[in-house]
Amino acid sequence: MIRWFCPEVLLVLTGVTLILADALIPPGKKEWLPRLSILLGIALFIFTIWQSGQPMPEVWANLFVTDGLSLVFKPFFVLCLVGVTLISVRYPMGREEVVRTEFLALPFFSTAGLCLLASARDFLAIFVALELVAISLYLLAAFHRSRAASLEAGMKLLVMGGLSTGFLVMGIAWLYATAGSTEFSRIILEQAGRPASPALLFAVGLILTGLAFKIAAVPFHAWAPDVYEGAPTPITAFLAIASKAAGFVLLLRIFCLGAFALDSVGWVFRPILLTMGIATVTLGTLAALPQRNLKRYLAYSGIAHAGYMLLALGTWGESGMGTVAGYLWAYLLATFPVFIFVQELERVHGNADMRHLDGLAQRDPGPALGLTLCFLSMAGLPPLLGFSAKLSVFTALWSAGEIPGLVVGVIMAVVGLGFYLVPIRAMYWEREPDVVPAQRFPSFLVWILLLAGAAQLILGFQPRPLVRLVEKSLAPMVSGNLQGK
Amino acid sequence: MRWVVRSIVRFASGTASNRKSSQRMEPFFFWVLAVGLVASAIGLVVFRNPVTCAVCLVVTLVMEAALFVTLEAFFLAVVQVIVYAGAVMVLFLFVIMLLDVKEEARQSLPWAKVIWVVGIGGGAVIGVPRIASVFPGAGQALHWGEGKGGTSAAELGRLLFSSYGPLFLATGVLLLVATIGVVVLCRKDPEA
Repeated sequence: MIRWFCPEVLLVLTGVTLILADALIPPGKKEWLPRLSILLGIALFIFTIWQSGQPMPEVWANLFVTDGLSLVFKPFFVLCLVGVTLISVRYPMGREEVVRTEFLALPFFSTAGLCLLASARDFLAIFVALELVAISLYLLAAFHRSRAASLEAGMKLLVMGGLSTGFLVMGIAWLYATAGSTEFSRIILEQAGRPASPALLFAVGLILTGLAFKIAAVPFHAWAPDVYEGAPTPITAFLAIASKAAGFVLLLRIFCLGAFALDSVGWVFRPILLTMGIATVTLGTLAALPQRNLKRYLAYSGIAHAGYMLLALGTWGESGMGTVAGYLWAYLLATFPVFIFVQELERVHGNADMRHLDGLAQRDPGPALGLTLCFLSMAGLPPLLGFSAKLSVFTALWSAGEIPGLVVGVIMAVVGLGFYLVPIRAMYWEREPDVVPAQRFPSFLVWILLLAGAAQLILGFQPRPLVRLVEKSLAPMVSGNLQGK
Repeated sequence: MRWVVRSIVRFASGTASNRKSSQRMEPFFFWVLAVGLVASAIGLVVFRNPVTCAVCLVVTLVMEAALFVTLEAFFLAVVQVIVYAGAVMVLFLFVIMLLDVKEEARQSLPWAKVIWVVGIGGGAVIGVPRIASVFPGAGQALHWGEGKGGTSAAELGRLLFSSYGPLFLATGVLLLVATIGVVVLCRKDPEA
């Protein structure tokens, strides 16, 4: 019975509670609902950390599994949720400065889907969980109805999401016809030790295509900048971090742990993953250079990061898998503070244009310093956290002997340093514009950004906690899980 | 011709009693239905008039239901017709009524697109069976009825509420989210 109180169930219940509270409480008394949602989010985060080692309900055992990967990534997704809720509360929706409760409740449903994804062991489970995530995200992206850009973003996300789901479902159908099952362990048992049939490879290709849309890998990246720019900023952050991480967790689960972790499949798909990684890194880095909108800029930066993770995935081993898991946490810690800043920038200036950064360091030295550290960490400059992440990608590539990927990765890391310097240069070397907006940044932003910057530094010097997380993610089965079977 | 009609009648009058003849007829029905299915699917993408597209979609769905019948998945076939060809299509028609049908229909047929779609569709018709022949079970038709579980409503229900129970719950949440979304996106703001 106690097992039914797993994060997924509680997340859904919280979402339903928020919506019911919104419907039942008379207007005028709802001011505490945003605060309540933040509190519930934080409580759920603590609960997830405490509980995620517990197995899921027994009847779920043939669809979901509790292992190292789910142990490490359920808290990841719930942490994303807490961050998104924190900044959703302050999202400038329109004339009346109150955010509607649905905007706060829908991410809870989406996160429930993400947590289900993190422990799925059957393609049918993946499909349903992915749809739960995607449908909430379509709605959230289009939530700001009075802005045409938001509606456009929702529409684009809907069409591209539908297309990617089509690929995924077609792949699952082919897989079922080939292997006779949709469960990972059965597929492995069925296919191990024999050459991969063309039908199986076709199925893997289709599934990979469907997931490549989710992580915005080249050549399926075109939707990302437009959607990121148009969607409300909290949702952009959710898309850029949680949704992308979900794609990678699935890729890890499929290619490194189950279903397609076969030599016969790897022989064909390792070069494909590496090529996609090289293309994604190159395009993301080069296309970010001319961007003038901070959200588009972060979209291309996210594409480049996805490329590095694809390269690590292409090494097809345990080291590659651990690297991706660590990289995702580093990406979360470096990118989320920037999104918090972007939203405050939008509150003050009305948009996220990069020229608003001009001379920021003279006006607000605190946020400027924190932002600089985050950007440098994303670039992978030595003492910071991002450096450890990038270095582990390169070591994995080196030990796997993938020299072309390594060379392109290193070159693009250097070029990337150039484009991460663009906002830093604007903050420190540009002259302050003559017209300074009367509104100032709130004081909590200073503390959040300084804290984030300090985290980059501390974890950069002492990456021990992250390494421990990575080690945990590689654990095949959590003890205590077996008794449920 | 008479043989075909007699076979159809015999096939329709009961698959269980006339097992042999129905199995002999199966490839024939498969090809009729498959070609019709792909053709109407191509029509759905290619035609400009939304109403024509909708009719093509209905034909596609009904043909697919007929394919399910030849696989002895009767319950699926019925659900397909009731849910998709019935309920979902009526919704589509309501949406089409909101469009300016004449404006859409006036635009000429985009021939480049037609050629592309027909080419891909034709390639699929020819190519897929080729690739499919490498399936381990190729040659013997995939009969749900003969495999595990079965296709009756009772057996599908048992599967849905036991092994796939969690997914059933998750789908319920998904539909709830979709409902909330419709309300959110279409509701008028209180003070506006």
